[in-house]
Amino acid sequence: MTDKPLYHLGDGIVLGIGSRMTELCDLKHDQEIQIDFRFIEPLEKISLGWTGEGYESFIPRLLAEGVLAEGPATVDALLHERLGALDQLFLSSYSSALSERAKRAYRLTLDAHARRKRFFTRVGQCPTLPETSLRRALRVGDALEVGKKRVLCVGDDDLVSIALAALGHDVTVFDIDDFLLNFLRSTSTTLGLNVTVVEKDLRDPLDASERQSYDLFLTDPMSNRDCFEIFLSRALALVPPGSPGYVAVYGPTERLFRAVAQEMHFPIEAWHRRHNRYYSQYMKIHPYESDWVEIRRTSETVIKHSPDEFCVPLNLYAEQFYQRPPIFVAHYDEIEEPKYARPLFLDMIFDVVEQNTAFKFVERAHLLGQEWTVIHGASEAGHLTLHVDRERRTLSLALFPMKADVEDVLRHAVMSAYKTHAKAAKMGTTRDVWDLRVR
Amino acid sequence: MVASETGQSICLWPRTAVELSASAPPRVASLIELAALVRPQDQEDATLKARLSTWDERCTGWLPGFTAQHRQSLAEVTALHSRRPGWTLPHGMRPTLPSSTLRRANLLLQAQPKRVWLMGDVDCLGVLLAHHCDVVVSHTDAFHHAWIRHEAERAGLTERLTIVTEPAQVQGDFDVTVFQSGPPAEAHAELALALAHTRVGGTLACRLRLPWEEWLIDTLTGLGLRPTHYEREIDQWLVPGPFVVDGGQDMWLCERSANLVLPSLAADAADAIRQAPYGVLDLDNLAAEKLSDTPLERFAALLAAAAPLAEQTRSLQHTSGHQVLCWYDTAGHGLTAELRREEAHLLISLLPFSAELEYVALWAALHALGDEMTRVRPLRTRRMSAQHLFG
Repeated sequence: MTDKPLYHLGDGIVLGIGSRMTELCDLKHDQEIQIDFRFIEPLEKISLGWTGEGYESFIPRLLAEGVLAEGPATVDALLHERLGALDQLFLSSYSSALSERAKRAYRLTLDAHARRKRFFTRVGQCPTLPETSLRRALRVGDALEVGKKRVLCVGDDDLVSIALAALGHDVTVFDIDDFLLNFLRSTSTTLGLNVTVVEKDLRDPLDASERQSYDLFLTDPMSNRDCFEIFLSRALALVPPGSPGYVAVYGPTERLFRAVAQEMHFPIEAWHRRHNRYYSQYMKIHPYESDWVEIRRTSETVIKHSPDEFCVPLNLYAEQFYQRPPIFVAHYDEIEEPKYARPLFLDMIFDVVEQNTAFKFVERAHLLGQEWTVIHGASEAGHLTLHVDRERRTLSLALFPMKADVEDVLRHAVMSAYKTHAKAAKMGTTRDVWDLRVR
Repeated sequence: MVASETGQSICLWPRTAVELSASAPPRVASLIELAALVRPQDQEDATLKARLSTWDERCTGWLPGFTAQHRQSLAEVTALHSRRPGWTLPHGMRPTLPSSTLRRANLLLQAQPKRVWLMGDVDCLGVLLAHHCDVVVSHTDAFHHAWIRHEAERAGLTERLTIVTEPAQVQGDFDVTVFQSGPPAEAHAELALALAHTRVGGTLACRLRLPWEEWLIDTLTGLGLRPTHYEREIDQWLVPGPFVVDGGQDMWLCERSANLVLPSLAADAADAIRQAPYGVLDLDNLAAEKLSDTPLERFAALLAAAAPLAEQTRSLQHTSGHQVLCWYDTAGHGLTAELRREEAHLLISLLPFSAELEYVALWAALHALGDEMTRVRPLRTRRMSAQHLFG
């Protein structure tokens, strides 16, 4: 204990450490402030509740701006409210079936998530919703019904350990992230739960004393071959034959996971599609979701990476599936002079694209109806399709992949020819689609 | 789908018919040739039943205790669905998993209704509800009418279940009325009917889907209607095969309050396009063995056979890294499909959006290029009331 005053990040303030930038997100005011890397460490300490030692001169200003609040780390009311609301999207489908102990486990898990103020997306951390953490724990079961289990969480930025401990199990967490370990240690203590945390780099050999010392494991690796092999080699070595394990698998990598299962000779006992829902540091639903797969170690299971040896994976932080670039779609309403929106003139838009960008068409096709025209061309990069409905006076186009220079040329060409007097424009972007609507 | 005299299964589209079997590729046949074979069945399709059960196990595993709690009911709904005589899409509705149908039934029955009106039913939901209350079904087609009537007869529920072909035939007030999002003109008409026939204090049950959530959510909230209960992705769509499409449709329950005045719809001919100018589908993890010869030609052939309107024109182009198909029907609805073999990925953009063509494209793509491990990136609504969910 220290006599010095403690500080923590204010309500609605979270620290996001990404691969390209680090930012403080002010969720209350919907603002993000980019942070110099030198401040990551002190801000991480603040995220855990901190004395402010070494940075005393900044504290009054940070307090005044609401970035800091006085006192030890606590449940963030805004995070609690927003996460609770996101949880309800799914929880309302099954909450009436939960026991009182499960409901208590949920409340504690939500509290734990609402205390976590740092998100380390750089290493692939993307937490599950608290309700998903609860559902994962419920798959293991309540210790009163299935007996107390020695449960191992191989990585736990999802805080499933809190729900498992609340259901009465002995829980150990292996993780490489010392912030997370400190967070779990202090949070579980505050919540009156018993969670053992161990700093562990899975690339290192396992101690002989650890092997086969757990009854079951849970893990949420990145869905790529290296990660599957290393996480499962370590996890399976830590449980005796006959023990179950639960693994998160990104849906599009099912074929890969089944191949790994075949090679390592572990049976897949159940596959729960879209079991796991995640959230982002902005307290919104993350588009990513994954399946929850039940496997079992048997006497025939082959441990790919021996527990005695170091292993050197090449790919730890990327999913092994096609990361499709965004597609650009645009819709122009009430176009002018639709009588000129015919192949001869529309072809000129394709000419302009070819003349001004590197987007060269392999060929062009004209697809024609009485009141509509489609011009389409594939390029080595992707394709462009342009659709005109002259009767309804609409022009739409799809450009894949979205390329800023091509989009710019296209927009100028279309608007100067068919939409010189726009009333309004709206642009929406997601990671998959850029959507422009012009009226 | 039904066991025909040849022992094969039949998928019937509005325009034509496609014959399916477990061992052979789909065969396109004439409607006249096959329609005679398609009739309500007393016999279950054992293959379909087994596959529905497998899908249900995989897709409801996220719901704690659901399968154990509803094992018997789920088996009954699965048996009922395995007598499904075909796959048509009245008013853009889509068949759902047995578990989805059961979840909807359970949800609607929570209000303990005496009278329920279903605007559309392609899952025999009406029969499940008729065990507990009087049900009126509208907005369906002759194909489903025959199935629902047949199943109601089997269950001895004909007196509690009424099928109407015109909404104007519907009389009186209901405790629960179910309608769905669609192009604004259709959704507005259904909402007007729901408001006219749901008693004050009764339940308006709205099925919401992408891309038509915006208009309906704004209209409902504009009327001061807030969801009293919300079930996200309660509908898990089925595509003949059967395959499951991730995502689906939500359900909002709202209390029908007094003095609601639905504004008239200020829509022109372009409004349907304006509300949904495009649709994008991603299929990952395509089946490698189906990508070796002429996959997009097969996809186009199925599309041409099963699309709501006849093919007008198509273009297939090849580059060193991918193939692109552009396909349009006689009304100017169509799509562009880009196949990347190395990545086992298909991108489909519908321009403009058409719910019927979207469904046919999913079916054609899954049959021509995919298998049970192929995943359609989830089709999910993006809003809950005014709140945007993703970020």
